Amino acid sequence: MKRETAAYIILVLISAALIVARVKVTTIAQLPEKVATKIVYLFESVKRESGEKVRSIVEANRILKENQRLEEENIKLKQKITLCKTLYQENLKLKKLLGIKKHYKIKSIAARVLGWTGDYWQLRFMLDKGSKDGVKEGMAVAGSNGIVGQIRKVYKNYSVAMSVVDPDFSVHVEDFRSKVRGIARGNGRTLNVNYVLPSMDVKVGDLLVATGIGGIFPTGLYIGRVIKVSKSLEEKFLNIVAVPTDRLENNKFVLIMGEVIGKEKKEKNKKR
Amino acid sequence: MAKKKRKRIKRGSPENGQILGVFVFFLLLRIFLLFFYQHASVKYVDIMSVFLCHLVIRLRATGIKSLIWGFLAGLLEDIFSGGVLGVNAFSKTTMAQLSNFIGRKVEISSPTLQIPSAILLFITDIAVKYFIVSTLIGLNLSDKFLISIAVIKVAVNTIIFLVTYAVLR
Repeated sequence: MKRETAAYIILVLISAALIVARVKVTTIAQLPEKVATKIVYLFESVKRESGEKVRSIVEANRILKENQRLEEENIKLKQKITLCKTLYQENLKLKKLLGIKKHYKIKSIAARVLGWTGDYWQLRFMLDKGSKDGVKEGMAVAGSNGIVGQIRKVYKNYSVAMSVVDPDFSVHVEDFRSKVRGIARGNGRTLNVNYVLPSMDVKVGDLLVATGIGGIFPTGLYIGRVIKVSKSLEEKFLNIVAVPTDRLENNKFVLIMGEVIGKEKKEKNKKR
Repeated sequence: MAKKKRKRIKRGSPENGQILGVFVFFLLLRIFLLFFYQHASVKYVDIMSVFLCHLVIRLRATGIKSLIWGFLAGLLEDIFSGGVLGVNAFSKTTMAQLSNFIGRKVEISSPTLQIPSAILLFITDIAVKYFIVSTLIGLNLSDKFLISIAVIKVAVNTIIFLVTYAVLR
């Protein structure tokens, strides 16, 4: 009991000393606040970072989808641009054709080139106009840059035209510069201009136009351009090679040129 | 007539491991209250007083052992509450000494005396604490306010004692 009392007194004295010293230990008491603050801060930072990451993932996903959509739109727009360019070129050609039609007072029929007929030389093409439209055999076919061929065969609803380089094609031509005349014939690839004397002035690059002799090919329409002029001691005439200014297969629309309008009226009057 | 000799009631000393286990339980409870239950009513709960009651009533610790554990419990309570060191240490040590004194006279661990013993110990704790606070620290509280706080504290702590008694049994 004495030991117990002594222990009690000692402990009480220690407690009293601590009280008098006014020692305060606030670290533990403030610990919840500090820990809570840290936990809240941790949660907030995790929430913020994860939120940002989720936001960035969502944003990236949205950007990817937007990118894909824009790519598809870009492809479609490019296709439209190509189509516009094609239509523009076609428009230019049609304007030229219209110009030809207006310039030459000739009854002309606009026709669409349907395609190659399957001949060996690949020089004959089908047009979508036939006898019911007034197409006749032998009529000239003009493209936007000059003569492209001649009607070879006529059917009721369509006709077959041969290209200017067809071996069966021939036309009376004139050098636009020197007015030298000759006859141009197709050879499958180019045009050979025949019956031009060696003394005649024909140079490479000269433009060949139709003379209008025969009344089939209108005067002044382009036929071809000279690419080669050669002389041979043995031959009497110049060896002139020309390339067509326009090709039937390069045109979607052509003009089938009929008789001169004035000439048609005269014939009608004669019949009366 | 010969004087009747008063029988000295001897109580068996509990194992240190048992005391440590109970102490850890109440320490965890105190930490729980500190971190997870910051409510105004927690101010009325004195977990270390309840631990001391368990120590002397249920575990029957006596003598220097109870004094040292009381001192330790009081010190911890001061640290956790952030108050002046020594206030709770003083009151808990006094609680332990009182229980030693009563324990020599009556069997405080008997079922009929457990609750009254606990109530007495709680009242002692509150009285000593407020005595120190008013005399040594200089905090003066009105009697009515003091009594009402004391009643609530005793009631709350007694309930906690009974609940934890049932749990730890």
